[in-house]
Amino acid sequence: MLNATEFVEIANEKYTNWGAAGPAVLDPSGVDTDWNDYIYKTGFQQTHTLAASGGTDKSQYYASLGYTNQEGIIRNNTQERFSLSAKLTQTATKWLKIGLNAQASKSKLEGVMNEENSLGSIGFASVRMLPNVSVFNPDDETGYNIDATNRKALGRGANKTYIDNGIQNIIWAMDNNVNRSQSLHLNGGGFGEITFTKGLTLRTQIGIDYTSLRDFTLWNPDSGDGYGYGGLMMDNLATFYNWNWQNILNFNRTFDGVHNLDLTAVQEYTHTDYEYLYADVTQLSDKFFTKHIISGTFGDKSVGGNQTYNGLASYLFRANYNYDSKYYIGGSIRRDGLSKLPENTRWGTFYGGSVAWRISRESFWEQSSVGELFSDLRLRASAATVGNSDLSGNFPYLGTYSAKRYGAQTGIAWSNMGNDQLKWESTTTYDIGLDGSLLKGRLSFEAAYFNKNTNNLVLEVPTPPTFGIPGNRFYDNRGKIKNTGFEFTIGGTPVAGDFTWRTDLNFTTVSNKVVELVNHEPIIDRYVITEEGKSFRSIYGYEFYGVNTVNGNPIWVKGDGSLVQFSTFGDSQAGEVEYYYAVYDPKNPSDVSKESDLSPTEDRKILGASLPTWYGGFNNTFTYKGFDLNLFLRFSGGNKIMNASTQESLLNMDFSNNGKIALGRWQSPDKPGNGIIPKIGYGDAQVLFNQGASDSRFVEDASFLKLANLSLGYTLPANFVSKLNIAKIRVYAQGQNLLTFTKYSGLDPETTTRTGADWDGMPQQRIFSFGVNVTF
Amino acid sequence: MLKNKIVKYTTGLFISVAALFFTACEKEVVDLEPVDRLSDITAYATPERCELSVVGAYDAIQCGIYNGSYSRGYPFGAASILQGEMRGEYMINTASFYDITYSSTYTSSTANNQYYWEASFEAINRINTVIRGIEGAVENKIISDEQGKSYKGELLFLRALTYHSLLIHFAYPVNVGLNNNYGLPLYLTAINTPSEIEEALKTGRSSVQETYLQVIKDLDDAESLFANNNLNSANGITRVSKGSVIALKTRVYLHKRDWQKVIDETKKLVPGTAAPFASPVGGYRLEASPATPFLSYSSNTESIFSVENNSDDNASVNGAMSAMMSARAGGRALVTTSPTLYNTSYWKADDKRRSLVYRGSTNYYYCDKYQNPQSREEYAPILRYAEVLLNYSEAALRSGNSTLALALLNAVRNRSLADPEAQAYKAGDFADTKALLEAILWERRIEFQGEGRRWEDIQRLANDDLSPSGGIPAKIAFSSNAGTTYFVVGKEIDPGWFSPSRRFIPYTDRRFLWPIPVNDLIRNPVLAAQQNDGWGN
Repeated sequence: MLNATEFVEIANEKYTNWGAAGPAVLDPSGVDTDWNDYIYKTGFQQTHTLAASGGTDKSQYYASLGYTNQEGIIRNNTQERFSLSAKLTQTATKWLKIGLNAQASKSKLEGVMNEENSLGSIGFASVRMLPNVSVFNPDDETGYNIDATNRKALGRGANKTYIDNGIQNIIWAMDNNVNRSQSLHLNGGGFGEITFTKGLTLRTQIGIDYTSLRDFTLWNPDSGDGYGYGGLMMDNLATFYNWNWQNILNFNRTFDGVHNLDLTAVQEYTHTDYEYLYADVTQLSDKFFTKHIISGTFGDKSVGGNQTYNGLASYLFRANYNYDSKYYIGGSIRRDGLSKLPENTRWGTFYGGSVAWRISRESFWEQSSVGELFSDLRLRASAATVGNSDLSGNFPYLGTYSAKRYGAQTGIAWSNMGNDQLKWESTTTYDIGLDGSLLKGRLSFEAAYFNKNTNNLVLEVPTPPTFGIPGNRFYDNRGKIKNTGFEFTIGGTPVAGDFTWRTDLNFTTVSNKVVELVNHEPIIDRYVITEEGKSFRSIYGYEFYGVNTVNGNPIWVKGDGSLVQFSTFGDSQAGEVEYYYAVYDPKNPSDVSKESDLSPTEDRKILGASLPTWYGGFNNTFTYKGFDLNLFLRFSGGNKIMNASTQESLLNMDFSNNGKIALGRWQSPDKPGNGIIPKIGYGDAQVLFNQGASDSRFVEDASFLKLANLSLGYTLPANFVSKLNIAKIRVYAQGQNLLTFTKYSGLDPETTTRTGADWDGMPQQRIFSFGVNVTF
Repeated sequence: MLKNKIVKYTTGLFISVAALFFTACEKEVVDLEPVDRLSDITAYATPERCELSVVGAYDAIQCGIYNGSYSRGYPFGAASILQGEMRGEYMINTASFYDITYSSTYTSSTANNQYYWEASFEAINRINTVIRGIEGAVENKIISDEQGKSYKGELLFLRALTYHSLLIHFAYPVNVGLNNNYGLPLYLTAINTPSEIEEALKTGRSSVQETYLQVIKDLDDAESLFANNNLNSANGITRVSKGSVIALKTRVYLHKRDWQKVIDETKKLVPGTAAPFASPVGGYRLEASPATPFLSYSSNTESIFSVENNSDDNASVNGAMSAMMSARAGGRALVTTSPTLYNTSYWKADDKRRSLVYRGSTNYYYCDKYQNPQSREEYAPILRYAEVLLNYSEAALRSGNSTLALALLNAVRNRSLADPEAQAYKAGDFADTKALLEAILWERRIEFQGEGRRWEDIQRLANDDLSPSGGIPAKIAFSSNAGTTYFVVGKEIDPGWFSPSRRFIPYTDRRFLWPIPVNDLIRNPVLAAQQNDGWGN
């Protein structure tokens, strides 16, 4: 971010370029605030677990208790979590086995608000805070620097006006507003398994997953977001409830020592329910009543709620046979019914098949010299189709009317255009691979080629807004997508003994292509396009050419290759194109007399893939006596990311702070800047930077290498802990997301707030933690 | 051993039977219907649901889509008012919020003009969808023919109102003739299916005249559908009645420059020729105090049609009139009254309407017609009896009846004067027709400040023969330190107060019209080829 001196210069230039006086004034007392010093800090976490396990031949149990306390990297951002877990398996009789398991966790997160383009959110506000004003003001009744006349906004300090959009003092908001999320998560289940005869079993199992989520928000009435409401409290209670019931009949037996047969029939039902109920209150009578909504302490109130659900039923039959673990063949058929699809297409049938050959079991191989090297080598191939049940919304096919309000009058209105032709989206995967291990298992590897074809892809089809279709979209099966690539995994134990090094490396390449779209029509979203022959949701926007060194105008390359500039400060009285696009002629760069345009239909082009084309991980564990050290690296690349945070926030053309990148702006033919930032003007961000669309200036390489985990542990000597009747005590220290190597200039190349774009996204947290695990 | 076997197989059988029994699970899991929304097949199945759907059409004009949510009062819950002021010069934008509109720096992808267009067209299709549903309900005898007509009258008014406001922002007035005379694409039947979408892709823009004729046809039809008055007028001001339809016709004909028609329609609401004027339809008359229509927005004799808001459903802190214009506690004070209005000598220092201008703790004066920024519950005024009188006054004057014009002008003005006897306009005050017209136009600025009428007048008078606006006026740049010294009744407007970047823009410039927004350029090729001149597609 700009410091105070830089800010005053840049802020005023936005006005003086327009011939107006700038309102920014350097505080004579030398105030120079780096707001990040107040917002960010080092995260710290402690995690402790206690566990016990034991049992007899017939019954086994396991129980554990965990506690985590995390101080986030952002001011007033904490998380606390308790968890319990228990598991019991009982062999009741020779033929009946039963089991139960349950997990419970309770967590409390004191967070910060971060929503795309929300004035009060941390991502939006923190980069805009004025550096030439202070955070605190002892003379203000709140103790924070809040504007004397606009009580909503950050105080103006020595400036002649307050911050644009009346953005709140973000430190005041972090200290006085509350964003609390509490959850209670229960999941568990049980099973009963009968063995009828050797190899024939019937298992029935039920699982439930229940989450109750309680979100509480307080916006303090003194300033900021709460000011316009006279204070606001929101309390939202949401529950997610999922149950799953499976019956599995399995026959698994070996005949004549070499014929291995495995037959399975499965019946499965899943139901997911989501409901919520909320109360919002405003115009709070007194700040005292802000710990919880208290009856009679508010002016206006509003209540609301909703319930929705979906379900899936599946019947599956699977048969696998192998001859002497040498030749394998398998097949499956499944039938799935999905509540999200219309009645006539609700059920889909999907098939799969596989073959494999374990070369290492062949006698010619076993006897060959290479055979000695390999302990296992297997060639495999499979083809399978599965349906995708993860469609947007629960009733995308149904034409519906939803509740609407007209002031105090209640109504209903068309809310979704139905499509009774909507059908299953399915993916067929062909896979061929070679797996093996050698050096007596010290080294193992897998290599595979895959070809995945998604058919009848269910997409939101955008409609022209003039037609007034709700949400300007409907759901339809719109195309085919193909993903092909290679997967390699190599693992091994290069060093064994007192000192052991265990390592795993996996690497995947993937090439994505849209094979076909209905009517060959591309689907264009804000930053991306889905177009035949191209990678799915490729970044799509304007190609930036440079800054006109003569007048500071931004220049783009049009679809036909010609150049166009935006005549930002053009003067029609001087025969220039005023505040519009003009032809840019490199031979006559000062000429802005010929009108042109920058067309969203003709001048946008694909600027890169948004999906990675390669990714993988590299995991290493070293142990020496009681010590263990883990180092885990992740990497990904081949894709681009649209840095909308720079475009929208760091380069805002309001009266608010900018990123250092703004220093590279064009000032004069002698000071042409970095060739990326044109001559700046107040209120001109949209035309200078193409806000709301991709612009090649802000499209960056998203490749990265991350040190995802580094931990060091020490397990106390067994002879010492056994005296305490404890099985194991391990203490450890850990750092997560410690380092990222990337060319991306934003906070995190993995953060996207919309497909292909990062708009005020928050980075993955860098967390340091220490903990103790105790096992009885 | 045998016993064991029996137990084993019995248990197995029991589980198998249970498995079959629970196949009933399948239905419970797969054959689901939503509980939070009605299937569109049943949306008009009862008289109550027909009523709910008609209310849903009003919701479309009150709170249409804005950047993915239904929150900012597009087009008529507040947006039409704020955009109408910010395109004009008598209110000042103080911060970045409306800067794009105020500075005329919009493009085909800036939010305000984009969502004005999109929300308006969503309203039009929702209205058409409800018309289709109501016609079906009448056919199926779910509601009476009479009830159906009354609903349809309301719906046609809403469609006419929406098309007319689109004309004001996206097309030239009838007497300009530039821009291929483009009016708007007329969608007169519902678009509810993929095949109807295909069909609608053939519809291009009609001419300005054709759009006006359709607006007038809708209003004529609506008037005849209301046998006596609206059956649904229990909500008075916020539901359309026969009076609303006629009042809107007076405005539309004024914009169409059909003075005789303005007079013909107005006579239905203003039969008299001398004050006090009162309407036999709807019983409309001016309130004694100019503040009453705003302070008693839900119950007064002057508001003919307003769009309903309440504390629970309004244009929010990011769009409501009071949130934007008020400097009272909770108000954001982003849009203030300009000295170009405040200082005018047409506005007497002791005029009662000055009590509707509020001086906050700062250097500005604020429109105080909407006084509840924390609850934002004020109705958005769309048609008032005062406007009908001033429409009539202007049409009468332009038709040569300056006596009636003066009587109507004075009717509106006198109720706000401290001493009407002494201060009322006299015929001798005006040298010619143009001078009287100027007084009528100034009265509109004063009377309707903060009601969004300003851009309507600038647009319709772009190249008026008597008092042309000529284009987008120059705007004042006001920084917070400007001071109340600028606000002195009668004080000259210093040319130096005007912003160097917000100069006068002639109506022949592209910026006089908002461009067709980006999403239709991408998805509707017919309209992309009919973009307003100079804007590019």
